[in-house]
Amino acid sequence: MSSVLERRLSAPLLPPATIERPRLHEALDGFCERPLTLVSAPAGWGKTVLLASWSAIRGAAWLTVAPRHLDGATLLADIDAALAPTAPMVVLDDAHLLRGDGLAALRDLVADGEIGVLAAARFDPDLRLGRMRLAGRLGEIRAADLAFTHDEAAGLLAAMGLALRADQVRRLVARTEGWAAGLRLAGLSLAGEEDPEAFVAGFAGDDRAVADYLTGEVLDTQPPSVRDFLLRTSVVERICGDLADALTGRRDGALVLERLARDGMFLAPLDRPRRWYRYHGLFREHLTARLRLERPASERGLHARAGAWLAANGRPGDAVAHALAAGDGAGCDELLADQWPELLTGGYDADLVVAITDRRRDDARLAVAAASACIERGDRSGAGARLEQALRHDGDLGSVAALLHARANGDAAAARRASVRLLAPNRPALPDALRAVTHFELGVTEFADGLPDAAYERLEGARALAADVGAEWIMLGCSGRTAALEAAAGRLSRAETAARSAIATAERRGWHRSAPAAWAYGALAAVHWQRDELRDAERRCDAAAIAAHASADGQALVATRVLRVHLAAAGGDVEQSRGLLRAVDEDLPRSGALLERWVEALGPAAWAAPGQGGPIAAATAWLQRGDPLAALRRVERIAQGDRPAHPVSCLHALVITAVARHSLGRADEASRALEQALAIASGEGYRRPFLGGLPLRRLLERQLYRPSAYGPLVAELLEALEERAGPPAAGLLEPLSERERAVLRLLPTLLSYTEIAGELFVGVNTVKTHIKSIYRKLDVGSRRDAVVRARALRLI
Amino acid sequence: MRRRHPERRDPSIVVVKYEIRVRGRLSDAVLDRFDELDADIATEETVLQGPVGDQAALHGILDRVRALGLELLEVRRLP
Repeated sequence: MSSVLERRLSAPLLPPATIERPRLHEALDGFCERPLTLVSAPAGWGKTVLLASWSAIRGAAWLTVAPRHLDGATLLADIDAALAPTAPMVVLDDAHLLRGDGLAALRDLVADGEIGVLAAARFDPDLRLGRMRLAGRLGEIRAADLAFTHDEAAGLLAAMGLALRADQVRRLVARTEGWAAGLRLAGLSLAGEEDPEAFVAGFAGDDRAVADYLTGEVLDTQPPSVRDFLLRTSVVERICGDLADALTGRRDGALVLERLARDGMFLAPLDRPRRWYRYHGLFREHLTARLRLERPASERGLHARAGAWLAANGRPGDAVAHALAAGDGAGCDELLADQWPELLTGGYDADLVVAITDRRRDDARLAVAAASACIERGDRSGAGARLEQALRHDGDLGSVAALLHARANGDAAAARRASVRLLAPNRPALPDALRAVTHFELGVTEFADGLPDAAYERLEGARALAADVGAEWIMLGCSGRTAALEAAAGRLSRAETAARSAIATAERRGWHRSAPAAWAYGALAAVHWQRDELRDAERRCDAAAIAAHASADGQALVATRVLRVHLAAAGGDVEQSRGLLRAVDEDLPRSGALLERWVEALGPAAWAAPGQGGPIAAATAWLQRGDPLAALRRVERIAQGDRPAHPVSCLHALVITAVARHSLGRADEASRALEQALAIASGEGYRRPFLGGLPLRRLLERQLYRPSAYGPLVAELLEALEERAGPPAAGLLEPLSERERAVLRLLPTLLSYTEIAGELFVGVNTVKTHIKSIYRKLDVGSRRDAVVRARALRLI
Repeated sequence: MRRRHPERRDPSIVVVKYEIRVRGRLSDAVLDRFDELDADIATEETVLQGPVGDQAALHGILDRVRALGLELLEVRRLP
């Protein structure tokens, strides 16, 4: 099968009856120098057609986003390969499909600004568009721009062979609001209509949803054999003549497809010989809906036929999805058994896989697939039982069974032995899917068996392999756990990026109750916790707990509970903390290196009994007892330990050092230690180490009057401490606005008005206006007085 | 015209209900794609209403709205 279906480096072939739209071409010409031009509109507004015709004229490169582009390096490499030396511009179709790493790569590419990217998307991707808009680096073409004008619509309908009056065109444009697909559908419905007026009047006066109405009309005006063809072939994404014949039981599939495409029936050819076609997504959705309503029973049979044909014609991966959709008793068991590696990487619904594969328990291949699904559900004994017979097999099946067995038992050594057999260099080539699975399962076992460093490397490698085969499920399994490893290591920014990427994938694919999702939610919750964003932390903690329960991942559950104890303690909820603490204390000692790091990454246990809770808690206790020297000695031992100290503990140690030295009157040394702590905190967004109840206020206030690089951060910390001290007094007749408060917070620093403006992304005059208003409301006449009064009123 | 979801849930279980409005009356075929919700068809718009398990389920429904080319008018969480 041609790889052209995988990699569309050339623009798609244009549908019949397209018209030139010079006004939009001119707009694109005007924008194409900018780093990013966004053509953003829902399906059917004509984005692809416009960009295809424009890029053909201008010689821009073309790339359609595919699952492989979830990996940023792959995306950039493909863009690079597509670029023509003469024109540094690339059209990126389906840009809304980018997430996580791939999206981040695009963000960086656009920030560099060396080439022009024209992104077509169904909705606005997360590319800091607001900022780019303000800076004039973004060109935009939206639905309102793409809407067909009266003249353009008239041209389109004429090109479709229709002769309509101007007022009829006007009514069609009004009803469709210029939506290109709507106009095409209307045109198709009108083809061969004796009395166009009846249709136009009916359509204009009908209140049904446009897409719904028109697809129904188009289908109803087709001869029954064509209608039947359309409905049956809608079960697959991509269709060729042979496959159509398998689905319809006829022999004319290729001819019908060609004719339908020529007539504009929303079929786009995918390759030059015009063998393969694809339905326009929107049209296909409606076809599927009608098929399901009218012939619910035959839908499953059609999936079975599609699966059988795809498997026999070199598309085993696609075949599996159809075989699973075909359900029981459809004779797809052999196909599924044959494609057992795909069942391991596809992330299919675990209950569904178990139900289907349990039909033939004697087949070792299906047993392995079922075992993997059981592991996903947290059913270790079920997995073990199903693996028994498969373990006796030679070859890859036996090795994979051994690997899964090791994973179910959390035995990293056994997992490694099984992996060595699978990855041995001098053996027949291992299918890519199994290679990805091997690295992944080994990585997960190392993760669970308390080998965080080994796991980190292994999972990164597995993720790259999974990206190559487009196995999003495996990628999630890696990125969710990587997020947890980053959080445990104290690398908040990287943890946040990995976690958000994993969560986006999980929620989009319905995998949000899986073990990797639990770790991703937990990691993000930990980041929020350290940044003192407590409500967000609670929210993500809840999601993590749900996922950990659903996937029966004991370690994820313990990790979540530990964080929850911190949150409960911070919120002053002593009862809940105690209850959770009892649960955690039982599990924690046996939990291994990963959880040890995780616990340390969350900071000292505020509830710890004296003598327990580690060096940071001990040093804090010394400070609270009024013995700063003892505290200093205690934290010095952290830096001198035989293992490198955890970054979070180092940060806490610096803060304690600063406070202790301040108590001892060593103001300059205290300031230096504080500055170091601020540097670390600023980079990653740490706030909790400063808000844990240490007497930091005077120290922070003094820091404001020193040449510190972190004035705004200090001001922010002071405000946070102030809020914890008590509610702000109601002393103002006219309260300050949100923006005024932001300016007020920065007044005590050494920043000039221009610098304040820079910090807040506004103009200097705006800042001056705010300041005038602040002075008025506080009834003061100078910056110094404003600070004094604001402090007195407990506003800052 | 109303279409009611067949099984009515146990009233003692607390669920979050959402109301989603789309432009235009929907055909049976398209309504069938939202069979987990009740449908209330008014002139020029359809109101879909029902329990939605979690955020992911909500986004799934909204994705379906988009995939079918329907115009989303309002999403409201019901008290």
